[in-house]
Amino acid sequence: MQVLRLYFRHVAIHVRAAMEYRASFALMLVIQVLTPLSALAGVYFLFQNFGALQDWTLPQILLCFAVTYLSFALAECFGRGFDTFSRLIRQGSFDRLMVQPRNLILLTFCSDFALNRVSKIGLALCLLVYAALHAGIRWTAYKLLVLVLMALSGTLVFLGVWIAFAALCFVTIEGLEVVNIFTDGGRELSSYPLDIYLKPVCRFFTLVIPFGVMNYLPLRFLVGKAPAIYGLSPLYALPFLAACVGVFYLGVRHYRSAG
Amino acid sequence: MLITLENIGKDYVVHRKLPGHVLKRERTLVRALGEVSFSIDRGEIVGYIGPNGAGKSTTIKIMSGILTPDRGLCRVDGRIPHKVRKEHVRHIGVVFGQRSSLWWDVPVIDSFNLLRDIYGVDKERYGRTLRRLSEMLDLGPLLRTPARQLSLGQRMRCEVAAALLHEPDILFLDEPTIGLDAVSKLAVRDFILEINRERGVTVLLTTHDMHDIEALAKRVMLLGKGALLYDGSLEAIRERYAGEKQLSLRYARGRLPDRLEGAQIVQADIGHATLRFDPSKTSAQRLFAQLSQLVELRDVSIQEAPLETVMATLYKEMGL
Repeated sequence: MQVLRLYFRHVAIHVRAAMEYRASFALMLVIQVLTPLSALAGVYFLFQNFGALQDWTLPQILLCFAVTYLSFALAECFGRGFDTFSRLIRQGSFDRLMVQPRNLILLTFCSDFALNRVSKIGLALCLLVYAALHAGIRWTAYKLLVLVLMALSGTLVFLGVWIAFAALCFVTIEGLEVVNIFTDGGRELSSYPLDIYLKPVCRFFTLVIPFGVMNYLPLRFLVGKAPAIYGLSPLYALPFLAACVGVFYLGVRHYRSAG
Repeated sequence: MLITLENIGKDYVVHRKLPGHVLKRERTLVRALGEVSFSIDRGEIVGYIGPNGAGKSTTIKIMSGILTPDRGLCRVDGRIPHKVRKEHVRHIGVVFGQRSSLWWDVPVIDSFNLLRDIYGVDKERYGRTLRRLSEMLDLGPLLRTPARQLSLGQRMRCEVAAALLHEPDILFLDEPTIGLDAVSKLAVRDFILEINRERGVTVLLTTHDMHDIEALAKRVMLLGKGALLYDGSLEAIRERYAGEKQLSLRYARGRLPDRLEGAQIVQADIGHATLRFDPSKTSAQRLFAQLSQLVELRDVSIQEAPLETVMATLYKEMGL
C-alpha cells in the first residue's frame, strides 16, 4: 500500500510537471496516436487486397493488434523510466536514486511517467472494444478475464524486456538501440498472430521473449482454435518478469556510475 | 570511528575503439582508487581535495553505497554501505553539486514533500526540520518557486536542505559550492558549520575551492591518482608549501628597477607594485632596506601566497 502511495505521489508530480508545458503536451497526445494509426492503415490495406491472412479475419487480427498496442502503450506510460534507462544512467540521476532508501525498481518506475501516452491507450482501447465485438467471439466471463490478462501480461513482457536490457546499461553506460528490435520490433511483429511467421521466429517470440504467450496463444483460445487452458498462458509473463528483474539486480552490482 | 576505509580499491574497465577497426576494441583497466585507507570520527568536518579524476567522487560513491569497491573494506557506522544500501542511506545525506535532487518543473516544496515520503519521515518531525532548515538557509520565498526558476545559488541552498530533511548523521558534499557567487558560498559554508556545531553532523566535502576548506575543515585529505597523499591540517600544508609571500607597495618618489635582489616583480606601475619573495631566503628587513633606498615607501602590505598557488605548488610537487 505504502509502495503504491509513494508511486502515485510521484505520478502526481509528473502530471503537474507535464501540465507546465500544455501546448507541448497536447501536441504529444496527437503525435502519439500517429504511429498506431499508420500501422492500423497498413493492416486495413493489407486486408483490402488479400481479404484474409491465413485463416484469420480482419477483426481477429485487429484484436491481436489492439491488445499488443494497448500493452505497449501501458508499458510506455508506466515504465518510461526503464524505456529511457540509459538516460537515467548517463545523466547520473541513477546515483541520486541509489541514495534513496527504497527499492531500485520502484524508484525507477517513479522516475518517469509518460502521461502523454493516454491518447495511445485510449485509441487502443477503442479499437479493442470494436474488434472484440466483431471478431465473432461469444464472450463469457472467463474469456473477458483472458482478454484482460492478455493486455496486462503484454505490458509486463514489454516492461520485462526493458528491465533486462536496462541491466546492460550498467555495463555499457550507453543505451543500446538493439533493444528496440525486441520492443518496437516485437510490438510490430506480435501485432499479428505469430503463426503467420516462420517457425523459428514464432518459437523465439513465444519462449525466449514471450510475446506469443500474451496474445497469440490466448487469442487462439478466444476464437475457438485451442482449448481453454491456452487462455492462461499469459501467466507465463510473471516468471519472465521475475527473471528480468533478476538480471537487473545482477547489473546493479556492476554499476560503475557516470562521472 | 564513524567511517573507516581500509585499502579500498576500485577499477574501471574502459573499452577503447581501435582506430581503423569497426569491432576490435582495446580493453584497459583504469585504476580509479589504488589502496585508500582513512578514518573519520563523529562530528568531524573533513575536506577532501585533489585534482580532477583523482577518485574523490568514487570514494564518496563507495561510502554512499552507490558503488561496490573491488578491494578493501568500507564501514560507515558499522555498516558496509553497498551491502545494506537501503538501510545505510537513511543515515546519510548526499549532495552532488552538479546534479539535482529537485524536480525541475514543480515548486521546491513539492520535491521536499516527496522526499519526506521516500524517506518515510514522520510528519511532525518533518515540519520541524523543514522550518529549521528554511530559517537557517533563508528558503522562505524559494519554496513556492519551481526549481528551474531558481538561480544556482538558490538552488544549491535548496539541494543542501533536501539532503538534510531526513536528519542524517553524515553529510557527503560533492562540490557543493561549484559555480556559486560569493554570497551563496558564504551562506552554504555558514550553514555547514552550524549544523556541524548544533547537531554534530559529520561532514565530508570535496571541493576545488580552497577557501571552502579554509573556512570549514580543520582536516584535509589530499587524493591524487587514486591514492591518499596527505592527511592532516591545512595549516601544515600552507607552512610547508606556501614558500613565497606577496608584497604590495605604494611609493612616492623614485623608480623601481627592472630587477630586484631576492624578489620577483609580479607587476609594476608608476607609484605601486607587487613583488613576490621567499622569506626563508630573503628577509623582509633586507628587502625593505633595499626598497627604501630606491623609493619612498608610502604603504606596504604583505600577504600569504594565495591558497590556489599553494595548492598548485603542492600538486606539482606530488607529481599530480
